[in-house]
Amino acid sequence: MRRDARKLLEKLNRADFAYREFEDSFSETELWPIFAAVLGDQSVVGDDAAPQSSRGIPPIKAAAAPSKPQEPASPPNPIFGSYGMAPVRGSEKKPVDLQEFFSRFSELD
Amino acid sequence: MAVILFQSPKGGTGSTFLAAQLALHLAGRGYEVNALDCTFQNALKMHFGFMPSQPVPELDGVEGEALVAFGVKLLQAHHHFRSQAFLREAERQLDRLFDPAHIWIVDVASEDRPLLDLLTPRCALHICALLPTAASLATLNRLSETAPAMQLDRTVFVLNQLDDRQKLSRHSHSFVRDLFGDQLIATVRRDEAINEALARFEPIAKNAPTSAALQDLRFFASAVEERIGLTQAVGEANVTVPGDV
Repeated sequence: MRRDARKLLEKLNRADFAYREFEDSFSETELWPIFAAVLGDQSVVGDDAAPQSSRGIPPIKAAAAPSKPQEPASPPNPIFGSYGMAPVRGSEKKPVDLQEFFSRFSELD
Repeated sequence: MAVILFQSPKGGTGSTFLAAQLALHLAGRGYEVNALDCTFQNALKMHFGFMPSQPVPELDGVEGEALVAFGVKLLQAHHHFRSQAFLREAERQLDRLFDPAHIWIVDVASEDRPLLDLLTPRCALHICALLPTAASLATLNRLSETAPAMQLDRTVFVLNQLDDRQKLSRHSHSFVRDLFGDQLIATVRRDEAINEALARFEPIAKNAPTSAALQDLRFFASAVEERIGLTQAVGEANVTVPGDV
């Protein structure tokens, strides 16, 4: 640890600095194609996998999801219906709408 | 007896490091802990202060004296588990391989699917280390051939080397947290102090006692204890938990 940092910690009587959050502005937020690829992969999310094309997800650069785009589409009903809750210990994972999912990323910290 | 399995489908995510840290934590809590290195790299010992050239006794106990550091007994079994005959025998008599008086921390190589398939049904917990990178997230579909990653009830995730200064790292954290819920049991911040401690063959707590990652590791270890029901058994050598072999 640098001497100045050590002195500051001693002065504050702390063992660690508080963690600073780096905020993203709305314009900086990106819809990462890798997230769409994971969400569209049945090996990860099961039958609720969301084919990108059928969920109204905006085209994402050139990098197509490498999963199985030609497989039968999962039911068109909201797949991840109650997405959006922060994980609570013991809570169940609930399905989430993919569009909501990406909308949420527009509001990320 | 509890077998805690560390395996990630992506190499280099910190599985060995996390395995060592959990072993050290549990030994410090009074448990009898064996750490079994099933990888060709055989690097688990370095996290206990041993040089790369240090021989580690085999699981069968035939060769070498016991190698113990910080209360953790180190063993290796890469050679054995490469044998199909041994795997078949192990499947029939797994309880004979793992001394039930101990907690077993088992480090499995990323590509060692046969061993993962053998041990996962019998483990108390399978801990999969992820990185906040595309390469790591892309391997989530390699966790199991029988069930989606989100439905693996004995598999939990640790997001390692998190760096909130980096946008993809932040977003990956949110993504994994929302995708897996309480299957994500901990995050560990990226901290060069970890690398430096390993280079000095010293415990992180000695080399960098104020490391932010060290706090995360304590939380991670506590989360594992809670997850498999060890918290009520501090100091007891014999522990029975769900998933016993």
